[in-house]
Amino acid sequence: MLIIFLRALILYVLVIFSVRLMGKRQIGELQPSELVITILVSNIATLPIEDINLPILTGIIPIISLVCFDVIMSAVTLKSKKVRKIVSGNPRIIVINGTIDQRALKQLRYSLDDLMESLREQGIFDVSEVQYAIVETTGKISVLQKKDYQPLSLDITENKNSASVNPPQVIIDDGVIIKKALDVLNLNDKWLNGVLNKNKVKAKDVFLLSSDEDKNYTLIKKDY
Amino acid sequence: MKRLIISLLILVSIVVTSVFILSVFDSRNEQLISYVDRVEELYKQNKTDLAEEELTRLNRFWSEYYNLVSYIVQSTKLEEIAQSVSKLKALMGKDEFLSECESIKYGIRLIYDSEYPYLHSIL
Repeated sequence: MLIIFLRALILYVLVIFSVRLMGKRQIGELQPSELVITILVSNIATLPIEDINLPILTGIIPIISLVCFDVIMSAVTLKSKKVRKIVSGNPRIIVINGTIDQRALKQLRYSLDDLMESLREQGIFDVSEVQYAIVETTGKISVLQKKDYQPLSLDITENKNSASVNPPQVIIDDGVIIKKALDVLNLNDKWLNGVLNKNKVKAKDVFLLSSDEDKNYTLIKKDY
Repeated sequence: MKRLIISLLILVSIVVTSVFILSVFDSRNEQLISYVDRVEELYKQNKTDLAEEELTRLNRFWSEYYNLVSYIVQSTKLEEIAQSVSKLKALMGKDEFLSECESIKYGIRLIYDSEYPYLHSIL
């Protein structure tokens, strides 16, 4: 009994250390790969606790290895957008201006009930109120309501007659220009170069540049 | 970046330690098998006194080795060898003695094989 107790204590400390090593992102939201690691770690940890015939190292080594692989994979996905796409997937738009993209919904294997449930959870009972709904890589649905249905704010009262504006698009992500975003916003390289010149910065030194259809942009320079 | 370096260091140390342990297993197994071989030889030559002395050395070596190997190998596998080793003295003069020696050697080889990353073991 004492053996089981001590093993449980050792593995408890190890799992805590592992979760810390995986970082804060792990605790907040789980990407598909992180969910797999979490399930595996919890499952592996129980085996040597229950079965004293198994050396405790048969639990410790795979847990540490999995966590280390996860940390390395996180670092790789941070550097490479392609790898990130493969590992975590892409966010997917499923509602634009009140119209459901049925094909996207089918591809994501989301039923209408799932979508409506997510909308209801965010206080939206009519899909026509939705300007934009996006399925994030974590599986969560983010919703932007049309301006007419948004809670009253100073910005809305000042721009009473403006039409619903789509959410801003990321144009430069960690120094990489996303041409597709420029096309979506009907912007061009000339505008982009103008913004970069105005801020006296090169594209590779930009951490984030996002803009909406009205050319209201946010630029954050790299600080490393 | 700090986490990445720690992770890489941990993984490298796991691989290095595994290879080192495997080489320790290899050399210790050879030693253990040579002890059993010597006991067998002396027994076949009817030098029972010398065989008994060698058996005592074998028991001592096995006890030390057991402590080391039990950190890595499932205890059920080791228990079978431990039982055979402890039975040897009592089996002296009986027909089962040599077969028990062979089963000890087989068990020892099995320890190494169970840790060596053969393709069939991995898959």
